[in-house]
Amino acid sequence: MTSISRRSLVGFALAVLASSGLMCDARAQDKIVVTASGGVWLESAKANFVSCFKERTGRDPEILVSASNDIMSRLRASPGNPPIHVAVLSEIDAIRAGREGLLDKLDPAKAPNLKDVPEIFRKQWDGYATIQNFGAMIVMVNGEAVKDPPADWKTLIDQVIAGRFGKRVSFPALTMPWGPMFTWFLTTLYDGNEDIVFQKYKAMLPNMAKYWVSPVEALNMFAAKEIDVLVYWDGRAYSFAEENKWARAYIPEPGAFQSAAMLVKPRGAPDLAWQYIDCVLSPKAQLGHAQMIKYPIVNSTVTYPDELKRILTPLAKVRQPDFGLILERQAAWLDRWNREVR
Amino acid sequence: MAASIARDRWQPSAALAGPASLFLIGFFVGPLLLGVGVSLGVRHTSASATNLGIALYVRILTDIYYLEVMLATLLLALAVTAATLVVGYPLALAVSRARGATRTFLLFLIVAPLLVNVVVRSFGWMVVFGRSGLVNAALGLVGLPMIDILHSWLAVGIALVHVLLPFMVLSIASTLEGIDMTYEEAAATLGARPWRQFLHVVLPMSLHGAVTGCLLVFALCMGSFVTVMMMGDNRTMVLSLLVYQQLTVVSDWPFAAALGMVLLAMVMAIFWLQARIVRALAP
Repeated sequence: MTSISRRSLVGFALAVLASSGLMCDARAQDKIVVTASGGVWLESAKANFVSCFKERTGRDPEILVSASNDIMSRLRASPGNPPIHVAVLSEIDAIRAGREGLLDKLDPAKAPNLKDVPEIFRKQWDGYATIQNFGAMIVMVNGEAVKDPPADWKTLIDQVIAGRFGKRVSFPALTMPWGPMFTWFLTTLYDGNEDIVFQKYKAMLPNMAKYWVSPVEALNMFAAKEIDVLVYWDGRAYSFAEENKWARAYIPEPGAFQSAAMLVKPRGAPDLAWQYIDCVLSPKAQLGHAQMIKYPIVNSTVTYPDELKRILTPLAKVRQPDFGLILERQAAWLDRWNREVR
Repeated sequence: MAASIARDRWQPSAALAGPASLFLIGFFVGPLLLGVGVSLGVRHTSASATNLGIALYVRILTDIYYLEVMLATLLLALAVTAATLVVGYPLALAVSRARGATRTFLLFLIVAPLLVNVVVRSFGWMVVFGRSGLVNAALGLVGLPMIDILHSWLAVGIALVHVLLPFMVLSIASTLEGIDMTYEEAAATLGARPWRQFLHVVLPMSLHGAVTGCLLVFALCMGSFVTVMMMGDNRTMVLSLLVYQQLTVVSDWPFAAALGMVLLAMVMAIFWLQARIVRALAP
């Protein structure tokens, strides 16, 4: 009868663990893991950032397509020994990660292109993150159904409440990742009065097809003509309107809030990560990125070609949210949203 | 000497149970204890750190809003379980009696929803239930008014029944297949009509499969939030969605952990109640 001794089994297991550990360590030293969003964002990361990194180092980074909250969970699980070496986070998560000690401060001596990124794109993050690209939430309408869309946000909201568009409108929910920022923007329209904003949210509900939680869901509703008015990101809205002549995208007065992708280096990531960050912020990669994703970028030395300038939301039209205030208020806002807007 | 040899020998039963036990301790009991610890520990905010104790549990169990959400979660899971049982039982009977290609085809139809990603499946339902979707197009063809069921409890319920049906059908079908046909033949010989054969022979003998199916569907439904989020709206709130919101929107891990523990306690309570009822009904 065949038998296996306990000692030999334990020895075998230890040998397997040790060899896999050595392999992981070896892998960690010559490879970095970076994150990107899916679709055209991933394509742009490959075409602009990875190509630059490969040119400089001769190495291929591993690209992980992942959402901000997922990345945060991974960073929190291994502080100081991150499984991701350059990440793109949401604005709020970047602030949280910096405060929780999960990030290294971005160092212009190690990523020289940081010097060309204006301070406004870094200040609120205490040097732990920089905006990589930004956009704004604007309005997209079905031009066949809505001939003269309201010129400003407050009129739009009042017309939704009055039922001008029927139940064919979709605004972002407070529960989607940029929902608190949109709520902050609305409070700025009503002199900082949160009560009015929640009253408006509630009053719009009967005429809201849905407060959207997923960008894909929102665009699908609009593309299927289930709705005629959609509050959506500018780059995607302009791209959609370019391909579908019945759609029109515009920025209501007095502008829109800034919605950004934050570039960070997790604490403990290898020095190779600086090269990738410097590549992301390099003029050539930034311009290529803007051309592919149709969102503004942050390197001040980049000059947009005319056809791009025409569709990118100008910085003057964009308000950067007060993230300190949002962090302080968002739990209360979420509670009000769940209790009142239903 | 003999004892020492025995110690060094591979003990198949202990060795086989070991990995599963370690897995459960590492990946179920461990995170569970961690969750309890987080819900009772310290909450850090930008301004302060607060010792929570049982404060979050008191908040959940004394706030009418959270009690409403708990009730809604429970009612949704019970309704979906009941609907899945009603739809699934005849289907399971058909599968267990079918043979050859028909059986393969039926099994494929039943398992098909599980092969599709939950988000894609939800978009499929939007195409069916939307204003210009299949249902309204069909109603329009026969001159009936449009209905608006997308983004409602009904839409959530239908989508959940669709995806959870395989768990019910496969549980019941496997029990039905184990029933010896000679029992039904004996009942028929004694003059029982097909309906009475089913009611007095097949149904009682398949109850264990139905109970297993109900437990699976109920537990899965209690934890479902993506379908609820995609098919519902602001009014369709369930406990698991609150957990998701607390984690992704405000990053409040202690409150999310406390809500998760309450959800787990609800499921365990229902399982306990169900076990008591089954034991009481057993002959």
